[in-house]
Amino acid sequence: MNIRFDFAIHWLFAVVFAILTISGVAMIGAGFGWLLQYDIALADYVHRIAAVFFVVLTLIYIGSEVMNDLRGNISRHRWGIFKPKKYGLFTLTTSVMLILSGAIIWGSDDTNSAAVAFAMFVHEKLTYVALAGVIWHIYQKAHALIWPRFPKEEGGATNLMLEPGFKLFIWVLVTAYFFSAAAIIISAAGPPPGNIQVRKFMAGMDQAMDSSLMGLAGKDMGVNPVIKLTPLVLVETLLAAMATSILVMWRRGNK
Amino acid sequence: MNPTKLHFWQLTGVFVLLVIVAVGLQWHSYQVQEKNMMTQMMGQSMGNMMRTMHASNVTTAQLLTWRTENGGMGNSRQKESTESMQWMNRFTTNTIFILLPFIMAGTAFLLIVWHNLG
Repeated sequence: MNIRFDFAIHWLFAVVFAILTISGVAMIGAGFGWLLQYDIALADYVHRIAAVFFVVLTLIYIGSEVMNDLRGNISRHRWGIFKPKKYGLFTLTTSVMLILSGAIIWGSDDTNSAAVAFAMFVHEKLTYVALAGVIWHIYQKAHALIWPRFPKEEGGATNLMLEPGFKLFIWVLVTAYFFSAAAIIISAAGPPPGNIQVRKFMAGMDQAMDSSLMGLAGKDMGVNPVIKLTPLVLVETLLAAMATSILVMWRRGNK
Repeated sequence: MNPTKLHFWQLTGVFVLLVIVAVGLQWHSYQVQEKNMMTQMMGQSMGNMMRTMHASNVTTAQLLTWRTENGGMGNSRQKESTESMQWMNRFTTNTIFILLPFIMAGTAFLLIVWHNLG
């Protein structure tokens, strides 16, 4: 079976984001911890490993689009996760902002509590916005849920979309997103957490600090040479990207 | 109703019902408790709590200045960590922080090049 690159990235991205959403929602606060039985250590572990996949998939897709533009080609990615308009642009900006705010929270060290607090606030609210976007995207592409017949012209990229097994996978994934949205609404609309929930959440956080990656990342933040190098590389790559983009625009204008 | 959206509305209906029942049961069994300061503080989301504590009156300059603070969120703990856990921490942290600049640069490139294609 011939699976296209953009098709594979699209569904992998959807799976990873669903995992990130469920594990992330469980860590939002004491009112949300019930989602994973206040096992914050597990949520933290899963969230950090899924974040790596999310970052790698994002970079791979951005890289493919950059290469397309450098070659002067028009992107033919029908299943592209990032596009120059509408939902594709929304996904690009929200994904990158989630990655950036997530990186600031990553070690939650003492060097700038205000920045970490601000990043945590943005990361949380952006999750709600991105999840609402996903639900809207599911509504727009609701025909993918139709079982067993599927309009071939929409799934033309691959006939995998017509397989019952894949259809089941789509249903499970969509249900996971609906479940995440429902969990957020239940937590937000329910009564404020009481002493028992707060104690359970704090015990979960303590356990995560002691036995998950959360505590280790905090300890690592000030000494890891890679983290110290990141801002310098960031400035250089940003300057190079801006110069190259201007060159591409100039070349495009001359055509 | 558009027949292609039928399954979407079915799923929405099921989850709306689930939310109404769950929220209704929660409020039904809710008893007002006397809350201490910690419970009031931790009752919010972590994002809201952190913003209130550390970022309610900060300037842009403060957000961008990285310095050593006392009594911050000090979490340099981790009593016992296995070798595999340490490896996993190094792997995840290094992957994220090595790739981050390239993602930001790629995004900047795409946003500039795409600005008139939308």
